[in-house]
Amino acid sequence: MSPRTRATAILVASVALVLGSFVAWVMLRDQGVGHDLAQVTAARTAVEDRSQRSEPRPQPPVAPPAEPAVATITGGLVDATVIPAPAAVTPPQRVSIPSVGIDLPIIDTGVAPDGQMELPDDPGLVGWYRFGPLPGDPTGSAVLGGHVDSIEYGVGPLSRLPSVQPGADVMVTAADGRLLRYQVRSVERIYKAALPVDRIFAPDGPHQLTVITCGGRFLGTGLGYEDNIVVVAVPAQGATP
Amino acid sequence: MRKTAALLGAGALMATGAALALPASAADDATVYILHGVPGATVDVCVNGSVLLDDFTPGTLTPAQSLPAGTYTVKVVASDAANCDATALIGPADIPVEAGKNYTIAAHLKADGSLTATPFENDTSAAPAGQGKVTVRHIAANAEGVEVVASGTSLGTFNNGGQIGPASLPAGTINAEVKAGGTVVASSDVPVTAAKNTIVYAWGDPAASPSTFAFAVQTVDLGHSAPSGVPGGESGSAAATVPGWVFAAAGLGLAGAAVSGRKLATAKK
Repeated sequence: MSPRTRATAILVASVALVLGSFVAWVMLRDQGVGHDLAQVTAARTAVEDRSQRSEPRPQPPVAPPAEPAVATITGGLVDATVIPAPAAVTPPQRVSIPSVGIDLPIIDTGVAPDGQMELPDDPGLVGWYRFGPLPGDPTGSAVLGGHVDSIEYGVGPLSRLPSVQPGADVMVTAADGRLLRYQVRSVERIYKAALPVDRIFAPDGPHQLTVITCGGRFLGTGLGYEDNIVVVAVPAQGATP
Repeated sequence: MRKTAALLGAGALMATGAALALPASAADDATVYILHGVPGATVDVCVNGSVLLDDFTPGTLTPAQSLPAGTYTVKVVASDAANCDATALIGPADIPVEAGKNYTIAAHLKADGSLTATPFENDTSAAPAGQGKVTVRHIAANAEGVEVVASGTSLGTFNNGGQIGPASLPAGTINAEVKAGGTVVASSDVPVTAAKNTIVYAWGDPAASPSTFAFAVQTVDLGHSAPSGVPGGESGSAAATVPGWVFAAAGLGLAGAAVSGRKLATAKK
């Protein structure tokens, strides 16, 4: 091999190393989150299949009676003259994910004027979506959301959310002091524009806790991040609820 | 109504009960509430000849009834009537209900103080996330052209059998007022609950002595709507940073390129 050929080979290899190291980093980075996306999708499909199976079988057509009889109403009557008092709901107190050192107080939040979920300004606080289920409710998705960082307060603990592993413990201290134990089922990074909000904010269906923040590429001030980090946890076995 | 009549009715219901006990598909059913908006008259409500409500008292609302779509013959008789064949106070009126729709049938006074029953269709379509709806209905006598004011804002005037709204509002509390000739005749704080239609009825008779004009309230569930997204971060400082090993590997590559490049240049000579 001539010195010239050898030098060319080394040059090519070196350039490949420069490019390859960045490619490797990007690939590894993207692998870190969403490791069990396929698993989650499979589980969801299974749930959908089940729901389809439970649909009532088509009934043979029955001619409606000309004058259907009605049963006497015996209970459940309410005094409509009593104007209901506004429902006061106390938010849960704290959420902790010990495996990544997250332990944050919770405040209640609603909907921002732009229609998105309202989040506490301080990334050291987590907002509970007050128009949805509470942690510990029998059904629906209780949503906790927080900023990953802020111009005023810097990077917050939720920046460690992508490192959470399936199976990790999530604890929520309810308003009454009860400790609710959940176990992480999935960690997903979802393109914000494709965020399945109807699933994340589901008012019914099996109960779950959804912890959500931002992640992925930063698009610039005012635009925020490209993706959401979504951690879904289900009640731990043997725990209440 | 007399117990014997109720028992006979129960027997008749048992005969037809088997078919009714079958859970009909929800899509084929209408949801129906009945509101008693006639002051001072305890009544029985008969539907299709059998007793639906026994000793129904003023201001009372039934729970939601799931009924197969169709036309129902509604008749209101005095609570001490022998059976549904007794003289009608209201009706008999044929009230059609459609599958998948939600109704409140209000028994109430007409403008002139006589009795009637009005089927109102309730809006159950979703409000924006975090909002509820408010509907105001007029089922009162002697109160034509009254003005509805919500938290200081006039929503206009309406007449017996009329409705204002539904309007979507953020969850919270509003003050509802009815004004006749500029004078407040009824006022109450009313909670607006997210994903619920709060329906306020102005009922009774302000000309009665004493006035029986008052509010009654029912809430009906709305479809669900979720926030459009979750913002999540603003400074970019938590964005993924390039780890050190990437720089190390890239540096090694650059060094290699420099050395080999120079060798290449030398070899050319």
